[in-house]
Amino acid sequence: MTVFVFYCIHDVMKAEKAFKDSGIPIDIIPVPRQVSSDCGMAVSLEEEYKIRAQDILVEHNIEIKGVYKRLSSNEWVIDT
Amino acid sequence: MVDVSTDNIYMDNAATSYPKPGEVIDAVCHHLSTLSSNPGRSAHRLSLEASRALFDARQTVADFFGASDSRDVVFTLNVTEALNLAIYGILRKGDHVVTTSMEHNSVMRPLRHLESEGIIELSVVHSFPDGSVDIDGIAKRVKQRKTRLLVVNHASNVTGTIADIKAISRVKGEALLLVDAAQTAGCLPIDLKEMGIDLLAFTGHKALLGPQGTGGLVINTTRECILPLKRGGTGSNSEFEQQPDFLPDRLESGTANGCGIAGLARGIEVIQTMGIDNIRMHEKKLIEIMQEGLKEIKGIRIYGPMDAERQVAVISINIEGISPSDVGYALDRSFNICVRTGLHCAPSAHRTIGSFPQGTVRFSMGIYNTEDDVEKAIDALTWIAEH
Ligand SMILES: Cc1ncc(COP(=O)(O)O)c(C=O)c1O
Repeated sequence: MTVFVFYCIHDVMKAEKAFKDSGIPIDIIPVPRQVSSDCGMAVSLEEEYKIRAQDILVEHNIEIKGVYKRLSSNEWVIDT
Repeated sequence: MVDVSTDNIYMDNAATSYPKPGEVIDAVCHHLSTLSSNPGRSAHRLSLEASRALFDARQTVADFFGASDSRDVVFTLNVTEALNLAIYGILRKGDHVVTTSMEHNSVMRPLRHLESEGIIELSVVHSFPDGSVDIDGIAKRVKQRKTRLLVVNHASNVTGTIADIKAISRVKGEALLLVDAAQTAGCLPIDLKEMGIDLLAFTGHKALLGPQGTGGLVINTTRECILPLKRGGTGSNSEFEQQPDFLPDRLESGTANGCGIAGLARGIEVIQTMGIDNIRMHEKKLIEIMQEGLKEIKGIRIYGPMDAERQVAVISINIEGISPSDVGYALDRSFNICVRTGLHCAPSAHRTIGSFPQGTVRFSMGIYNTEDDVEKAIDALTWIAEH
């Protein structure tokens, strides 16, 4: 699983809308404790969508704070 | 309890629009009954729905005023708070500010306060007796000094006089232009970019048809320099004890008026469906009928430009020999007509048009007023003037 972390909920909402409009399945989850508590919420998606999703963010001018990958239930690594 | 539902002619829309569209009431109720949890604070489904509602409303407002990004919409309680946010958030020691003599106290009082504290220097440009702005006067003042902020209303709440914001923007020099759109948002088209507005303050409960307790500041330029009025919880950056520096969170602390904002967004949608040009046409028609009728009344003094093209649906009058409050009382008790009398929180505007300190009787029409309402008002005034 890949997780996108944003600077604020406003960007999470914006990203959610952009992903939905582009047919990318996502979920909004509480930010995993190991990642960052920045804005409480993050977007999770299957790894196969990552590149396309990142392009969409660039296209919509939505700034991303970080991309993380889950190794196990409490192990996360930065995935750029 | 007073029965307010029957036979009331409500002509106090410049204070608060009434009645509200059913859609707005439904939106508020829907929010309260189904998604009234705390937006932006949790990722559970109800909080997310509340966050989405807030986000959508922000987008609706941004689109309505032509803002480039919905993050530039900062929700506030009303236009007073939005004006205070801009004024106190931007001005620093030594700044020069230009405003007009037609401003509401929500502009005048914060500026006079900063002036009396020795923080700013204030130039108040005298407007003309019909309420129109002396644009050359503004141009002179902003040229004399490096002005930081220029504050003008888009239309006067006393005379309805519309300011030519585009022309004012052309003479603003290096100043930021802050527009008080309390009387125009919802009844005149507003486009930040097209009109050259740096900051737009609006209120939700007047022509935007929303509930009280809603409003906002829309930022076109200058994202960086505005300091918050309030600091506190935003749901973001919770590991830090400092206020986040990004918009809208930097300027929006504490739980928002979620249900109110949902109603405001629906109000804007109602306006978009009706078409703002149609609304304007309807109101212009009412202004014309009103002015034609008023002219026939003996001993009446009508303020403002007397030209529907140059004003919103706000008309101030006085009847010779009768105080405004007595006229208002008679209109209410004998004719079920609700108007506002006195100074309308704008003493400087009344000085400008020559009606200080007694004030005026102000009629203000909205989308639900009819030609029949206006004719009844004229008949009532005719009767009052003759007795
Ligand atoms: C021109 C103008 N500015 C400011 C205000 C203040 O509005 P609010 O009470 O919604 O902050 C009003 C209305 O009362 C107004 O007409």
